[in-house]
Amino acid sequence: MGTGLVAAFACVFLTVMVAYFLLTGGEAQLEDSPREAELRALRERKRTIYDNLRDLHFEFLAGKLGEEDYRRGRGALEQEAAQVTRKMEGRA
Amino acid sequence: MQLFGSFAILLALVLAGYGVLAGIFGLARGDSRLIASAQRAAMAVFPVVTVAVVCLVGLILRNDFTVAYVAEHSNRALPFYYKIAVLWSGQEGSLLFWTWLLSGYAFIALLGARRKARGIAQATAPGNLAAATAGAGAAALPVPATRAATDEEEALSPRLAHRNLMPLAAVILGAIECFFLLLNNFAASPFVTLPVATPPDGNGLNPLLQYAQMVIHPPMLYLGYVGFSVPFAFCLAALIKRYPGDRWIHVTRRWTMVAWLFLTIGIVLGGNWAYRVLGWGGYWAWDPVENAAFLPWLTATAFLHSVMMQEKRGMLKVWNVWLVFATFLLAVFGDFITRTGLVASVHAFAQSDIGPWFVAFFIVALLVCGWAYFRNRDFLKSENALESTVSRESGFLFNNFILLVITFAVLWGTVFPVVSEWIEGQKIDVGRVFFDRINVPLFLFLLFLTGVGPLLAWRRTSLNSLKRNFTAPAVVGVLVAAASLLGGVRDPYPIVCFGLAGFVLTTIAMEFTRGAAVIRRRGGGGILGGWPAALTQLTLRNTRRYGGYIVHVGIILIAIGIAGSGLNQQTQGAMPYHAHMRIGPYTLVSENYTQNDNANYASNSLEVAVERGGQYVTTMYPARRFYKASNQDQSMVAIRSTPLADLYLVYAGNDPSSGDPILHAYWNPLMVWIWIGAIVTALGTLLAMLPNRRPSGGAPGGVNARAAAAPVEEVHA
Repeated sequence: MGTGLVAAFACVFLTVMVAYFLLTGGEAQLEDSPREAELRALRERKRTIYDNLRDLHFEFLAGKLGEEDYRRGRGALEQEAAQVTRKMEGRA
Repeated sequence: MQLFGSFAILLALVLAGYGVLAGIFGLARGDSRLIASAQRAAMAVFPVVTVAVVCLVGLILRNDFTVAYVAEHSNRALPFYYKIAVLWSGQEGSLLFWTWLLSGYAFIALLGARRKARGIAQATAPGNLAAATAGAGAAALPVPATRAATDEEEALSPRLAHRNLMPLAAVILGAIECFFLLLNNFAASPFVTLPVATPPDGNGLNPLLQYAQMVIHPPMLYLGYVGFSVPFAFCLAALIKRYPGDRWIHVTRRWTMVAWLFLTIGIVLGGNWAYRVLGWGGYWAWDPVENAAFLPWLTATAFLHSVMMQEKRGMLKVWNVWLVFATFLLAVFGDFITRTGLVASVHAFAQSDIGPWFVAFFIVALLVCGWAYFRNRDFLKSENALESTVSRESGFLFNNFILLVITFAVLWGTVFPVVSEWIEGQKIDVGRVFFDRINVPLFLFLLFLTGVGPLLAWRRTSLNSLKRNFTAPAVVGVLVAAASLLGGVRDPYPIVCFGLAGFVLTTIAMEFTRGAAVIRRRGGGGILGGWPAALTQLTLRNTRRYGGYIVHVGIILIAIGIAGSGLNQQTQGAMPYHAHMRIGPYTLVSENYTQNDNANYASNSLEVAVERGGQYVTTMYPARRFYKASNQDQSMVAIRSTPLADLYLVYAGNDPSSGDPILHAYWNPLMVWIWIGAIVTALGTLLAMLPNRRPSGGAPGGVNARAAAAPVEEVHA
């Protein structure tokens, strides 16, 4: 009987603690608007292209890439960056 | 205590259920209070399940044999640390342990989202934004119209993705928790009392589990299995929400790396346990439960490679999403075959009736994945196409293709006994030969790709670059293979493996030395300006890439260890006093035979002197124990490891006619490299998870945003 009573008290205490935790606290933060989210995605893409350019340049300096591969890769990435920047300006 | 534990798992189920429902309604109605409440409920599940776990451990430590689980899996004489392991040694306890880990992962993810939300709020506060826009990195960017458009905020993108996806990811994690909590409450409760009178002592822990590795192997394995739920939740949430950009894949990748690390450690510890405990001289037998752990590891490995295609080039989005789904589903499948007795295994829990629960959950999860994919498949449209077959992209594609073929082969071999029973009425085991014959050549090709991939350029690689990068590694590879042949290796697979190891290690060494040379030329490498400083700086600048190379070094070391098994030797014989046995370069001499007895077990031990070239080397003590509580006996293997080979001695029993001890001796070359390779792999993964130490933001190599924004002709002029 004694053990059962302790267990019952423990169960009630646990429930009260959990209920207190659930019922107190603020609101969740809402997300960006779709326009902001789209702009953010474009900025992320541009950042990735910059990272790719940085890696490409480093690999060229390290002697891993020939002149031809480097120029081709850099041109393609610059073109991609230009497209993304134009899209960003169009949406800003 | 058992009442309190039962109540705790019931309360946890209510909380998880509330979290799912409140989360769904909150998201549907855009009600931020309801969403916050759902997230708090999801967080509360962890402490409540912890209460249940503490109750069960308490019952085990108190030897409360009124509880069926404790009576079945523990006994009074069991040492303290093995009593802790009782928590996950049986069906019900391990399911509770699984739920606990899952709720722990969800708790950490939710806590991370809260902290990230606070960090984002601080970083995007007006004062901080002004400071950020005044920075050099931001100056190169065109000034966007929105307040959030700063370089500083771009660095926050993965944190934003984590925060924004968390409400839906919490719902998905909560739904998974609900499934396991339903099992904990209604199908496999660890708090059920014995229907009969309380026994004076329990049945004890399975002797096979009474090893140090077994205290840590299951938690690691479970952390891996369960951990894949988190990337699954984020990936599914991103797909359902059509989350813009690719930063969500960073979140998914990071969580996958965490789970992959734990699963890798778990698998290797399992192999190490099998090697040290089961006494057959090997570490991997293509057992269905081993395969069950290996399957999600394979798909997760494929994802960790192919995700780079998405991050770098916006390709393979559909493929990546399905790899994440497949990894989660295979983890569930693994849990299913381990627990239901579907396939025979030394690891599997006994036959149980929870199979239909798993089948239902698997089907529901698959349907949800399919629904999310078909509804949002246009969101996963690739941004680029493959330009050449000789490119980094094609290297990753081949890598993924091979990994997937291995996955299918292992899956097929694992379920074949079940399929054959359905079709022909009898279980047919494909056996080790099937797995080895298919997988060994595939793994060798994978090793080759491990060396080739990093040396190929993105988009297209010219013949000149190929020559420049591959000549030295190819020469080293051929020389190593020739040296193996001259050294007496005759089996073609080890020769090819050693050659490929030489090839890949050379490519990795070249990657490090070339990169460090650039840093040294630029005056980097610290005050000393030496190679170690340059190599450190190089690694910390791009932890993911160079950590990845260290992982590859670890994998190569493991491959070398595995290839060594082609040179194994073994012999067996009775060893009366002063008898001799020869194995590898050693002579074994039987010196003594002893018996011991304690509360937990009785043991017989053989004292074996090891000599090499007539010189004493060491003494080894292979033994055999009889565990009293479980009435089972178990071999205690004696192992002497050196970098060249392991000497592995098993007390195989006693000769029925003479009563002399029988010794089974193995000589296993290069074995230790498997365990060293695993440590290197784990360290490399940890390194790859660290953030890079390099300035970010501005355009590199003289390219800036204005130039990039200008017409292409102008940029090239």
